Amino acid sequence: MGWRRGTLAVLGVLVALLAYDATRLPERWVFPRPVVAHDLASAADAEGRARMLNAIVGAALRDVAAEAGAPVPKLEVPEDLDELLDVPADEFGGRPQSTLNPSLMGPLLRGRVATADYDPALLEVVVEMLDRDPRVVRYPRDVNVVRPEGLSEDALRALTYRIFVDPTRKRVFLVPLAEGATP
Amino acid sequence: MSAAVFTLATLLCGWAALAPIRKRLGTLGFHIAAYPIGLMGWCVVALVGGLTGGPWSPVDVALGLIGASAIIAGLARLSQSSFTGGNPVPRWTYLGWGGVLIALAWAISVSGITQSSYDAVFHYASWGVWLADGGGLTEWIVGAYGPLIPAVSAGGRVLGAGWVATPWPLLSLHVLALVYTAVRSGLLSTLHEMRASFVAIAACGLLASTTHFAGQVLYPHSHMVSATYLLLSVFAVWRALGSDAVEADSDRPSWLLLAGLATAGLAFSRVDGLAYAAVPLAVAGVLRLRRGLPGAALLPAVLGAGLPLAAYYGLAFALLGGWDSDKLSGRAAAYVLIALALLVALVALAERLPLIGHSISTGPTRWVLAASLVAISAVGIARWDSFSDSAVTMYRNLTEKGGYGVLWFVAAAMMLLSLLTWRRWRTGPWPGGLALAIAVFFATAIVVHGSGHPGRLGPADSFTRVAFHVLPLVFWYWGLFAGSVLASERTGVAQVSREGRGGS
Repeated sequence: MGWRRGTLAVLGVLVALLAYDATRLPERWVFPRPVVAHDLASAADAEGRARMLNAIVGAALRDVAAEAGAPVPKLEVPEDLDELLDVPADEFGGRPQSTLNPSLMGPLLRGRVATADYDPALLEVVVEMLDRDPRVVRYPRDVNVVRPEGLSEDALRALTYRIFVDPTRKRVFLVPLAEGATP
Repeated sequence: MSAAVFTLATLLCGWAALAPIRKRLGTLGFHIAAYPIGLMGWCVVALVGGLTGGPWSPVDVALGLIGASAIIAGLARLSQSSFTGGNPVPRWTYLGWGGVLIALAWAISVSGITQSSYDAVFHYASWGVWLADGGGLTEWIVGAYGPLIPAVSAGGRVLGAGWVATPWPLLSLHVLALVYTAVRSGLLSTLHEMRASFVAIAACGLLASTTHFAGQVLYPHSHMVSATYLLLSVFAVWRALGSDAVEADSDRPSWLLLAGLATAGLAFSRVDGLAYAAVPLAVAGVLRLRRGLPGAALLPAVLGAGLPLAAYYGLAFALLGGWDSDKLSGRAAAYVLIALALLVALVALAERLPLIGHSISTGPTRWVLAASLVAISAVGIARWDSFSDSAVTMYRNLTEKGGYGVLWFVAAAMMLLSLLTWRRWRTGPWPGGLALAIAVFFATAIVVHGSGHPGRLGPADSFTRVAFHVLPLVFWYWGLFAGSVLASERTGVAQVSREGRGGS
């Protein structure tokens, strides 16, 4: 009977070690902390990193377009998109990662992210006007989307937004293009 | 409500798919397999949506789920020569099991509790949105993330969920249910029912208390998903070939079909899951030789895994040609698929091989272990610098940097102790099959990660996370070992007798 008692004793010690380890679970937690999120934008915001802004932009555009009965819109971005925002960038492998990245937005917008030649900087007076505009929907991380109201059906079907920033380059504004108009 | 509808739709797909073999699987086996198999149905919805090109409609969802269940049910009919016999599944159990899963899904979705990460947002949720828009297969899905989780995320979105979070806690429940069932059923021949249940609960409790299990219950990533499919495939191999509960030949094809389907699910949940198909394949091959069964006996498993994989990768190559990826390029996928096909042929024809056939048929485990060592050595010799760096990183992540605490030290000590006392406690062939599954898993992981980049120290390292997949098997083995030693303590003799049909 000796080997059995010895084996059970050793197994008991091993189980006790695991049980002790389990008491240290909170300090050894290596996974993202649990959060409450009911949609993609809030889940992305809860993650915390700067690059989550791409998901918030994509989700915001989809939501607003869907609410207006429009398909997923196209997004035009300036050529220097990676330098658009003045926010602390994420790092990976010791190298800074651009906060806004078309390849991260692409899957959320059916790949319809294109560069365009325009000035993405809004004047302060325009920002103040948008802040008072009831058509503007606010999303986490100060992403602000203008609802595409008053557009024709054809315009809704070909809905295109452009990304802009405020003078501090910390706030994002997504503005629909009117037909034939330039901002 | 959307989470409840998604869960119900998934369950209905799984139940319909496995309906022809429900009596063979038994009540517990049938219900516990339904949700994981149903989740695979969303891959077919993605296929239909990709072909129609537009956003998923209710018709796409219905066609896809009905199509998936019809295809699997068709395979089930092919694999099972007779549908008489077996135990009927009581109708109240559909309400019971379905009610538990739907209620849990509803509670999780109402609470909104989840975890978020870069991968969860950009790898799975974003590509789920892409698929739900009718985007179809891309090199990112085929080469980096696998189709299953984006398809599941797409399905949840189409049914109204803004953030899909419920499959992970439900699959965690399935993992615990499988480990509990496997340990308890495996001990019933030698232990009193209450003691067997106690050991099974203890094994589940210890598993659930580990950092990596607790951390993945709510985490929308691949690991709990692939761990479920790996465990289900090995569980099904056990029921088919390693357990005396199988009624002669009649139930075996059904369980083997399930093993094959779960293996396909493993390959769909992560791109490296394709390589880990070697685990159930190796165990099934060894056990069928031990039982003196012909190679053709494994045909249901080959169909269950081979047809979905052939369809998926055939479509991928047809649509994308080849594709580049840091994880699984088109070329690498072709090599792995060819290697798996050769392995299947080898497993089916092992005893007929000239010169070594007799040795393989009388000592298959030795040959599998030797082949694993050869594979590891080949990678080590071919890529010594990166292999040695990888090996050090893997060891340090398991023992120091990966957040596992003392777990792998304890697991190694337990395995060593079990091997030292092997002849005294082992009853029947299955503990050996389970130990082999764990060994082949690590051999595969060393080959996969040793032939790639060296990895990085920390919990986020790929191998650190992959090691989680084998944890349920480790705790299953632990439960069998501890329970068998306990039984020997009581009776003084290790008994082998006919087990009841586990849990049905």
